Amino acid sequence: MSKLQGLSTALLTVLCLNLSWADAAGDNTLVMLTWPDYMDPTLLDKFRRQHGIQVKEVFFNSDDDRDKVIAATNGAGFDVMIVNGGMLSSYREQQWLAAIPKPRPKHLRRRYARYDEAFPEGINYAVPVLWGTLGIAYRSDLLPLGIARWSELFNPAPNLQGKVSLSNTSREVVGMALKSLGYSSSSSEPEHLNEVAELLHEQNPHVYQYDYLSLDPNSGLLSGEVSAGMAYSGDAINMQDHNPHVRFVLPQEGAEIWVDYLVVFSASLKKDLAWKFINFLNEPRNAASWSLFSKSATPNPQAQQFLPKEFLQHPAIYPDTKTLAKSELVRPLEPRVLNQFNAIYDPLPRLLER
Amino acid sequence: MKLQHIFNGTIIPLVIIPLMILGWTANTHLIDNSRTRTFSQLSEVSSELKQQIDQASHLARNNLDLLSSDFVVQQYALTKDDASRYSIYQRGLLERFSHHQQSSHQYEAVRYILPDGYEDARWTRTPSFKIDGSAKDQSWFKILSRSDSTYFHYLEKNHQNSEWIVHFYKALKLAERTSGRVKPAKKLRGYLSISLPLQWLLTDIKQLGENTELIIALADAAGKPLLINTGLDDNDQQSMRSHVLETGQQDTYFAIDSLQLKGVKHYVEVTPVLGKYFLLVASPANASVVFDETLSSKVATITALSMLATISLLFLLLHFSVIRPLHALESASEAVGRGAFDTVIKLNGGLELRRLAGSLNKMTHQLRKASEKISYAANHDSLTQLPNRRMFLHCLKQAVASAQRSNESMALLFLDVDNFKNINDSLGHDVGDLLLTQFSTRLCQSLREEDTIAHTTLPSEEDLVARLGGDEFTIILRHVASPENAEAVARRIVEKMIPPFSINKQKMYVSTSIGIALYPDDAQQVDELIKCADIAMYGAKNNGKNNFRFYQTHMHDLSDNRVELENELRFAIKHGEMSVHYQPQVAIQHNKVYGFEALLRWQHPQKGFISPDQFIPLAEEIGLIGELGQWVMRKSCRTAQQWREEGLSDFKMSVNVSMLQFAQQDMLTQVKDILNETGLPPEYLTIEVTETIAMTSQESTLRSLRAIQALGVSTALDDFGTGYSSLSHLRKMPVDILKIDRAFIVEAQQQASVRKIVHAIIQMAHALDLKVVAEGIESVDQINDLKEMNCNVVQGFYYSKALPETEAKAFYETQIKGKFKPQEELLDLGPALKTCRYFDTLNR
Repeated sequence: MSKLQGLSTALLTVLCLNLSWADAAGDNTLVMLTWPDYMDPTLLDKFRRQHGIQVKEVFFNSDDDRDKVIAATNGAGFDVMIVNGGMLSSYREQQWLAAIPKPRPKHLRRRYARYDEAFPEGINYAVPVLWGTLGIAYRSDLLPLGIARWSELFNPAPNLQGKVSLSNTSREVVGMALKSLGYSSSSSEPEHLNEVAELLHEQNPHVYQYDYLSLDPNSGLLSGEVSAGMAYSGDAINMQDHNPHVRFVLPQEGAEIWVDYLVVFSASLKKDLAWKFINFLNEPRNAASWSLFSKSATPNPQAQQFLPKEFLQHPAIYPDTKTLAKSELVRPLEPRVLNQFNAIYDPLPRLLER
Repeated sequence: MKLQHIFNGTIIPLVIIPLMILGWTANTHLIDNSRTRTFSQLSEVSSELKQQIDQASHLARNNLDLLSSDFVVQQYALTKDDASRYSIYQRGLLERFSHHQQSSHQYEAVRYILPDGYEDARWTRTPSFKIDGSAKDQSWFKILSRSDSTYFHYLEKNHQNSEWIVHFYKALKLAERTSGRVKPAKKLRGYLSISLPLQWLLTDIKQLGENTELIIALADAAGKPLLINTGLDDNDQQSMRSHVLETGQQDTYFAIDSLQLKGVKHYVEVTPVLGKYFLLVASPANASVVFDETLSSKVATITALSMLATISLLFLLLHFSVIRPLHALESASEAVGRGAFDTVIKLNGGLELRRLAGSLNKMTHQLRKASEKISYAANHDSLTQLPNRRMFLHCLKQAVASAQRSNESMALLFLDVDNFKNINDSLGHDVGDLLLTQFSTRLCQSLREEDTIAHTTLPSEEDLVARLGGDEFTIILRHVASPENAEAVARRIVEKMIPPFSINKQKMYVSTSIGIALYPDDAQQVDELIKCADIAMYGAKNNGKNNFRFYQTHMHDLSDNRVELENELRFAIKHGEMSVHYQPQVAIQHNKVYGFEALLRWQHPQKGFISPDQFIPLAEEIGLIGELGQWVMRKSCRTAQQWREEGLSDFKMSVNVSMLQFAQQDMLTQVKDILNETGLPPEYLTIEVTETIAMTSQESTLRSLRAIQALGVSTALDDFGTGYSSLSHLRKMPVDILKIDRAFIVEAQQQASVRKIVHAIIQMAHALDLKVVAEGIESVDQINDLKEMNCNVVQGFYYSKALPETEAKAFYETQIKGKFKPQEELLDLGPALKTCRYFDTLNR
């Protein structure tokens, strides 16, 4: 986290000094805010080759980091950004997002009723590109009996104590904790919230980090410092390349379903290029390529034809309907509930630091 | 009234009262001072605390200002969309809060509150899950929301840890950001709040309270103590509340008052802080009281000490300069009054007193001179200037005590002038006095010459010569190592007296007899010692005078009787109790009176006739025999001369002279003197000496006897036959007459052998041209027998017992008238016979 924070701080400083990343990057360069190891680099090469436009990646490790950067700049200097569906309304509210041009580019014409319903703020402003679940990644060699429930993570057995990794997003941590108690991850019931606060407080001493697992070889999960942790399905599968003992499970209480969108900053000076880039990525072949690279499902039905069968049947990537039924889409919370989530979560990392 | 009392009554109060007033004033002043100090300390603490609180309050406002100008904070506040704030900006805001707190650690919480009272964002120092929710129903928020002022604060008690917290608020009024020219009006976006724990603020108060017993409290406008550094019960809190209320209504808060807290009086100061709160600082009054008490006791001690010192000094001054000199004068006067004239008054007092002392000293000196004269006169003999009996006794006591202490020996010498009575009687008292004067001079000289006796020059240690009275002198010899030392002194005295004294151009020979008693050998007591020396002196006199003698134990046994007898003898001689009787001696061949033997008789007025064998040996022992013998001789000679003058002639007066008389006296001179004195022709006198004396006497005695014979005085050898006299020795004896002892005469009648011896003696005596006198003739047969043996003279009861002077004369006269007849009737007088026979043993 500190490394990323350092990055974002450095980024912030650079932005403040130069006012515009784009100015520094040149006219043919797009700046994209994205997760690390998420974007398929071959697509960026392909895009540059086809369109002569270079895409510069700026990574964020959590939504909060990303938001802080944008809050400081109102998005100035950035062009394209990966953002999950839950954040769209706020971003819209802040007028940070540029509308999809009309007429829509060729590959952006498809509408996704399910997502429009879930995140109506994204209609005309954001393009869903990947989806997945938030489950538990663990080391089968360190936990021979495996792990099947959120409650096992939030109420860790002795062999798991001190080896639990969570997330730096209050929505995820408090939400999954609510799920582990059998409540909705969006519950605003004060009793539920009090109960979950208590649970998290009790779990606190056994937590290794309130931070998202890093995906590089130095990751705590790979080194064994973490036995189990919250993880996005794609990240967990990717980490299996480093260590075959890494397993991903969708907890029995149900997982959280996330949907990542691509958006263009209203502050961007290269909105056309940006939309061109998004259009490029949404081409079925490219979308399939990205899906394969990120080990995440693609919402693009045309892309699925280019995906291997085993990929499409991978239970972690395409969970069965039964499991998925218990899962929820990451819906925006009522603001003051979110504030309460924040209030519950906020002390936790500081407590651990002590 | 005594001077001391006058001093006590006046000077001491004069000293004490000002000192006490001074001490009291100082004490009061110091107590006031200490109380003032307590008050100022109280004010100091109070104002310091107020300042701290004010500073904290000021700092909080500054921090609120700082926060409210922060871009992130403003951005957050200006974000109307709740979801955006919470999802996008809140994390940044909380980081700002956190960073801000890191620069001012004392804040417990930083909050952002929406105008409707909803707690929008909160950062707490202690991570907490607590969700406060809305404050819109809280009374303080109602005040806050109605208030126009930018800043606001209120105190709140944290119910979890019971700590009081001050919340400082700032209303955040911001205008919306716009790029337009018209600047929108500022609108209230929310409230920024900083929470400061009062405990943290008042850490210093706590420490202060722990160290100083100070009670520090923060009370609200109602006087309710919100924060207090010590436990107070309800009563105390109530009284504090009313006190704060009362004080709070006044204009000036800085008045210091007293309040009863914890059962102890406290000085209290109430200061308004944080606008509508009151800071109360109380200090126990007894803290200053304790200080006061120690101070008071110090002042009291100093006052008491200075009083003591001043009084002591005055007392000493008075004592040494007045009282003591006066006492000294008084005691000196008393001492002088008692006779201690050597008292010299030395004073350290004032000049006047020293003058007085000088006068007294002069007076004492005069008195001493007079007293010394009197004392000298009382202690000295006016004739010889020697110490008298009184002084002698005093000195002797001292000497004995001294000898006893130093475990030494000493000697007491008693001496008198031999025959002084005679000198006094015959030559007069004037001569006697002159003699005594010269005698005493020689006595002193003989003593001073001896260096070995007088070891020391100390008057009390010197040997002492004293005159007891008459011719009696004593000498105290100290440090007598051995009897020889005393003997040497005695001998020297005797020798010193040998040269003739020259009295009125006449030469006079005087001797002395000395008795020596030794301490402690002879006696340990003074009286005993004197007695022993006295007895020894008479021993010396008995020994023939002109000599000395040591005391011997047996002397003492006789001494009692002796003293009495001596006195009685002297008295008897003086008062005519003594008389001389004369026993006729008959020349049997011619039947006529041959002469008389003078015999001493003592008729004691009470005891009657005292036998000579009772008093003669005693008289010999005590030295009276010489005197007595002389008296008998003089009396006999005078009687004989008288008879001659009355017509009697051709008779012999026989007087017994003892050996002692020869040893002690110049018999020749005596006989001559008496013959001269009485005028009796020498041929009428016969001196009888005992055979024992004659046999044992030294050549000097014989020479003396011969000289007497040469005068024409006859000499007779008495008691012949009782000693072991040899006839050859008899030839050398200057005797004319041989008296055969009575025992021979009596036995000669019964034993023929004895008669032969008697006959042989008579024949031998006649051969030596000696007359023979037979004693103890009691019958006519004896006379006839002795006539036949050609004995010359007889004496005995057959003819007559010893007769008084007139009767003896009558006996002689009957012979002239006719033949005298033997007094046969006397044969029956047993006692008288016996007496006479014993009397005849006088010189044996």
